[in-house]
Amino acid sequence: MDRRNFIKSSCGLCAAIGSGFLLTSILQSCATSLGVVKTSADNNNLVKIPLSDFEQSSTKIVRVNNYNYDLAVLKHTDGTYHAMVLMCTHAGQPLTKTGDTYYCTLHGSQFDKDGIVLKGPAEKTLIHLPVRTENDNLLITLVR
Amino acid sequence: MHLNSHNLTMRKITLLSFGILLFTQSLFAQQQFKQTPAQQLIANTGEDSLNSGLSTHARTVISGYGDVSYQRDFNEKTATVNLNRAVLFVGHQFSSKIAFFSELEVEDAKVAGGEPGGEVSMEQAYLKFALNPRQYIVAGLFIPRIGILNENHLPINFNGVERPLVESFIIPATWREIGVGFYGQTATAPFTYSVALVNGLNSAAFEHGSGIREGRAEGRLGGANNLAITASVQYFAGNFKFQVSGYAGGTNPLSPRQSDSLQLSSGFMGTPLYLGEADIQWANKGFSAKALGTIISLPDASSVNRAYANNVAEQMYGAYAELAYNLFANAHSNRWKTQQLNIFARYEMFDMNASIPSNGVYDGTEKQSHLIAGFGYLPLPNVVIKADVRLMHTGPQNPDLVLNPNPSALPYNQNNTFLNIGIGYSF
Repeated sequence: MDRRNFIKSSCGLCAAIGSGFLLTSILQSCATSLGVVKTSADNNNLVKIPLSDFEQSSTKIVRVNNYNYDLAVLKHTDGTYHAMVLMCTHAGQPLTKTGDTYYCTLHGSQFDKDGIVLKGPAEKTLIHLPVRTENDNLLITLVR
Repeated sequence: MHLNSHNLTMRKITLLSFGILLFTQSLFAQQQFKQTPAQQLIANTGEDSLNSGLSTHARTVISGYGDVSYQRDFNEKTATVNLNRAVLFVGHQFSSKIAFFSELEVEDAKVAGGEPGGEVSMEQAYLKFALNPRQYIVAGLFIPRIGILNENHLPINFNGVERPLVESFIIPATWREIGVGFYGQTATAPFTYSVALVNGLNSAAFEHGSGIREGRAEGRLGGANNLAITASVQYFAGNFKFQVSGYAGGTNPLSPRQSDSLQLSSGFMGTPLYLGEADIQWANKGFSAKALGTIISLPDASSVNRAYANNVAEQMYGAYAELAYNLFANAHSNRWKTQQLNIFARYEMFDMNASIPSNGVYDGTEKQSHLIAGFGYLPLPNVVIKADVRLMHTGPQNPDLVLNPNPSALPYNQNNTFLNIGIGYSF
C-alpha cells in the first residue's frame, strides 16, 4: 500500500469511528433511561434502597459497588418486591434490559420480568435474592 | 397424474408431521415440571450455573445444541436426512473476572478419511476478561456481532428448519475468526456496542456461488498480514431492538512480493472488503417481526478475478423480513402458556453478483428469492420441532457458465419447492 492509500484508508477509518461515536452520543441523548440506582452494600451484604425510589417507576436497576452484576428490583401491584441478579443462568453473562424482558447477548436467552425463561438455552429462572422492607427502605441480601 | 402423486406425498408428510406434533405435545403435557422446595432452592441459588462473581469457587459448565433435518426437493424428487450439527459447549470460570468459553462442532454427523462431507471444528474458543458488570474483552476464536444469526445461531431461537439464507450466503454465519473484541453496554441506557480486531479474509479462497464463505480462516492457519475491524451497536426501545453492524478488512494475506506479482494490494487493508448490516426486531403479545438488510462491497474484485479466476462479484446484497405469531402466547391455561407454537412466514432475497467487474461472468442463478412458511413447536424453551415449506425462485442460468454440459441433463428450472422437517435442542 502506498502512502496516499494508507492516508486515505486511515482517514476513512477515523471518519467511520468518529461517526460511530457521534451516532452513539445521539442515540444516548434520546435513550430511554434504565432507572439505575447506584449504591453499596454494608458489611452484612445488605443493600438498602429507599422505597420512595419506586414511586415513579415500579422497576429499578440497582448497581452495587464491587458487585459483578446489576440487580433488577420490581415492585408488584400488591406492594411486595422482588430482586433478581441480572446474570444469565446459562453461562453467567450479564443481561441487558429490553423493555419488560432481560436479554443475554451471548447465546440469546431471554427472561421475563419475573426472571422466568422465555427463550433458551438458559433453563433456570434468574436468581432471586431475599428482600424485606424496614423503615421505609427495601433491604436486599446479596449472594456472593 | 404427476401432480396428483406430488400432492399425495405432500399430504402424507403433512399428516405425519401433525401426528408427531400431537404425540409429542401429549407426552410433554403429562410431564408437568414440578419442583420440590429443595429443588427450587437449588435452582434459585444457581448452585450449578457458571456463576462468576456469585461464588469464589471455580465452575465448569457443559452444554450444547444441535439439529437434525429432513429435506425433500420436489424438482429432483429426492429427499435427504442429516444431523446438521451437534455442538458441545464447555465453559470454565477461572475467577470472578476471567472465564473461558468454547464450542466444539461436528457437522453432518461423521468425518471419515477420504470421504466428502462432515466437519469437526472449533466454533469458538476464547477467554473473556470482565472489566465491570457492563464491559468485557474477549480474546481468541470468537464470533463477532454481525447480523442476527451469527451471534445467536441456536436452532431454538430462529424460525425455520434451515437458517435464514441471507445469513448463510451473504453474511457467512457462523463467521468466527481469531482476534480481540471489546463488548459493553452503556451505564444508564439500553444501548450495547462491540468493536473487534480480527484476522482478515482470504480472497484466493472465494468461490463463485458461495460469496465470501470460503475465504474465512475460522481459526485455522489464518493469514494475519491483513486484518479486519468489525463493530456493532444495538439499541433496545420498548419491544424493539435495533442493530447496525459493519466489517472492513483486507482480503489478501500474501506478502508484498507475492502480491506485487499478482498485482494485488497488500497490507492491513490490502484488497479491502466492506460489509454493512442493519436489522430491526420487534416482539409483543405473541407477535414478532424481524427485518435485516446487508450489503458487501469488494472494490478490487477485478484484481481478484485476474489473480485467481474465481469469478467473484464487486457487490452482493441480501435482505429478509419475517412475521411470526405464537398461538399459545395468550392462552389462559399455564399448561399451554409454557409452550410455544410459532407459525411464521419469511421472505428472503439476495444477489451474490449484484455488480460484477468487467472480467466477471454474470450468473443469474445467484439472484434468488425464497418464501418460507411453517411452524415451530417448543414444548419447553430448549426443544423445538419444526416444519416448513420453501418456495425458491432464481434468475436464469447463464449457458457460458455450464462447462461440459451433460447431454441428458434436464433444462435448468428457475423454480423449486422444498419441504423441511427438523428437530433442534439446546441446553
